[in-house]
Amino acid sequence: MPTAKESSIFEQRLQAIAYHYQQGDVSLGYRRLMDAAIDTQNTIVYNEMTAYTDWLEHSKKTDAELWTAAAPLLEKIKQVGVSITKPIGSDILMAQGIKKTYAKGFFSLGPIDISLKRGELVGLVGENGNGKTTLLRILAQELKCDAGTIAYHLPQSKNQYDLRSQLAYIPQRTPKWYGSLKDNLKFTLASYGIKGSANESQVLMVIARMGLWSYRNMNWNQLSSGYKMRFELARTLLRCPDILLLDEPLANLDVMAQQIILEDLKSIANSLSAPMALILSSQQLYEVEKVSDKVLFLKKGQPMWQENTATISTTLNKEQSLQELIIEFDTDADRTLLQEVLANLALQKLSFNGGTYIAHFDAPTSMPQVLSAMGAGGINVIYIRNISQSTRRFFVAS
Amino acid sequence: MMKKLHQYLLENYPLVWNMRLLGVLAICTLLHLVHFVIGFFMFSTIERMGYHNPEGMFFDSPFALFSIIGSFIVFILWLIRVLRNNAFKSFYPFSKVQLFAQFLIFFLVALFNITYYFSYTYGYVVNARFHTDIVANTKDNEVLQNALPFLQSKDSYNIENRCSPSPFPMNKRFKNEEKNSNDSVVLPANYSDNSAYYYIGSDKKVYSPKQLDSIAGGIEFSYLNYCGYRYRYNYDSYESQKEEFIQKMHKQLKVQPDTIKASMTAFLQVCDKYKIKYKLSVDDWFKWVYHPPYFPVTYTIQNTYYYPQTDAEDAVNEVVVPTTANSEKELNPKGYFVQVDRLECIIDNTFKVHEYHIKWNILLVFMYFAMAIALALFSFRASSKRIWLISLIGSALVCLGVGAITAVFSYGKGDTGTLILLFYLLLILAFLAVVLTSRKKTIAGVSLNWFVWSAPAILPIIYGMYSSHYRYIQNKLPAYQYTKPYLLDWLDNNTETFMSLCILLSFISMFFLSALYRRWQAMPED
Repeated sequence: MPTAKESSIFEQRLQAIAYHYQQGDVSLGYRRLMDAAIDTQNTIVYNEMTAYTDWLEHSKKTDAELWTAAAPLLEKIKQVGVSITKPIGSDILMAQGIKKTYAKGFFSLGPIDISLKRGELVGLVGENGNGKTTLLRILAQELKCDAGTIAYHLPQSKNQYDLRSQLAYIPQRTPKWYGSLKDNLKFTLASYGIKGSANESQVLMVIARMGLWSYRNMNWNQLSSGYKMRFELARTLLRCPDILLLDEPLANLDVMAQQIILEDLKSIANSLSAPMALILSSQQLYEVEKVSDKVLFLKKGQPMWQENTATISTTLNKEQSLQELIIEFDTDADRTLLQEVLANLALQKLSFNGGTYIAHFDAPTSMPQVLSAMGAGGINVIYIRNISQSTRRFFVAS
Repeated sequence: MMKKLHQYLLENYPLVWNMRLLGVLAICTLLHLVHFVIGFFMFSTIERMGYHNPEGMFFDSPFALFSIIGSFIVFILWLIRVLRNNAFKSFYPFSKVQLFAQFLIFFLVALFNITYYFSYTYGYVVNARFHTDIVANTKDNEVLQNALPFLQSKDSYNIENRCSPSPFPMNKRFKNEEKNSNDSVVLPANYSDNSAYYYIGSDKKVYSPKQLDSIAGGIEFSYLNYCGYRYRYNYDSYESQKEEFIQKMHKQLKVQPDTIKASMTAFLQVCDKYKIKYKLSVDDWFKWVYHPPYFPVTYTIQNTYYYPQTDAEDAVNEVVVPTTANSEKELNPKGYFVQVDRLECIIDNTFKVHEYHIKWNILLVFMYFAMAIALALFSFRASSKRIWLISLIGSALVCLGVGAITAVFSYGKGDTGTLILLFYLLLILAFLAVVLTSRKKTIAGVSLNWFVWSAPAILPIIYGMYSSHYRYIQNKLPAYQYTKPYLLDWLDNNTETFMSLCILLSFISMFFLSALYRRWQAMPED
């Protein structure tokens, strides 16, 4: 049974869906509608939702038509209500002092402390070869760590195999699927004990949710990299793991696909019915930071944490980080001119990495002040971003 | 229909669907049917039954090769599909019962796919039963039985073969000077002629040539000395049946010569019936045999004149000149011959097709073979490609090492056979110890595969050790002090039951070993 808080969150989500539809954000509203349908865990709702998907996929519909058809479905979802199987926000993993050194000693990871809660999404960023995959594989129990402890709060796992059944690790290169994609998904679900007509309904529901309706009868080789990843996510969604570990899921995806996948991951993690803890590694800093609750930056195997509340911990000088304004920008202006324009803003350092400029300002310089000065100085800004709170600063401002 | 079944299995029995069980069983059933039909049409005429044993004709025919290739192709095609989705390696919920069920499926498919021999043989047998009559065959067998005492080579009529009346058989022939000093038989003092042959009868007494004269008229080769019998059915009653038959034959020779002649006539009629080639006249044959009272063997009939392998050879060699060795000419001046072997073969094979059933011991051999295939496939699926290949190559090296150690040990004195087997046993148990204690996934995986592959040999090795040890003791003790332990005696006499028990225990052990694979699969890598 859902708690009052959970029911309230569900109610708010339903209202948001109606709002999205009414505001013309039909695509977003439709995806949220499917999330709400999944949260009901109800086969009848699934069937109606997939019928709706099939209807809208067949011909072009106006926004009004789509809302007219979605409204009764929304009402139905409201009536059925949310079904809670796992409480959101509960502790799920606590790892302390994880260390891993490779035999030849050329790379050493950690020590790293990490904790995860259900519904939490953690971004894992860092340059290539800094230990992202190693950390993910250690957390997925694929790889043994040399030191440290990992405690999983998964009472239903009686042994190591059961535990690994509840951890899903998706590597960057997903293995090939053979045979019909839909059959593969059905096989996964049937292996998890969902049989008969419920199996068909739930598989179609997830196919619809992941935007794979038109691709459901295709084979693996007919799919682009993006859709392969989506099918892999669909399979993972059916498995309902407690912890999902994704290694570079955004690689090979176009910008739009990245945005949609990230948004989907966020909603998967935040599912009311079966929330999961999710860690994803990526090079797409801005996008990852946007959806993550916290971000772990790995540099030469050493961790640097950043909470979404913009507090920075661990090895960085905390005070310095909070006071400093770091701006990344691109311009065709001369460097001497830039120095002159920004000199009055407590410019501490201006560096050029070949692509963009990185400017460090002492407090209390603010972003509007910098923009104003640049405008007044006639600087033609092509791109500008405040990276004071972003892990991007670790990449570009070192 | 097929699509619905496919979906039903996928949604409700994912393991059965994943193992493509129904599909492969359907193909195997079809192949069994094909083998049955081919076997059915392999029977042409009753005369052809003289060439092949129905139980072995599958392996004699070139079709066996195609069958083995077909079986191999089925395995390959099936495995390509089965090895695609592996729920166990993907860490989907997979209990040890499911793992064990997977092993059983591998075994079932392997067994079903390697036993086409039975369908082929059964197809042949069914058709052969339509064309043969068991009652007539029994009568023909009797006719053959009655004629056989007069169709043997000269050696069969030597006095050493004689078994009736007492004190025969004369199973030891020696010159006095050759007598073994350890023999319990004591020669009478007057038997001092070292150049004469002496015989020891079944009554353990020594008979001089003189004494034999009084029994056999001094004739070394006589029809009365023949002591053969084509036994059938119960081996336990063989001796009494033979005794009865020999006594009847002696009686006929001595007082009912007409029955002998009638038997000879009936025999040639049976030969005609089965198109058995012969050159023989009943009158001459009877004249050669009937020389009372001692029925000496003067002439013999060549009983396997020519044994053609095919119909074509048969036709070409319609008339073949008999061997012209001088000694044979003397024994068989008219070149008489009968293809008795072929007639015996036809009659025996007719009995076989009517009595045919799948024999447990043969099925057991196939089951062990299927078990080996199932273990190889299961370990491949439950471990990993890399670990399996390392295990395979490693096992070859281990076998070489073990072979070298065995060779070195086998030159040693003492109970080396037992020690070698003990070494094998300890080696297998060491694999298990490594599986249970190793924290290195690769080492644990390879050891697990080795243990699973060698575990079915544990009981036979223990039996071998037991047997070898007592054989060693037996060799050290005087015969009268040695008594075979009851268990060993039982094992020696019930090998089939023991091997059945072993395979049953192998299945039970696989249930527990499945859990070890589950434990291993979940181990993190180093």
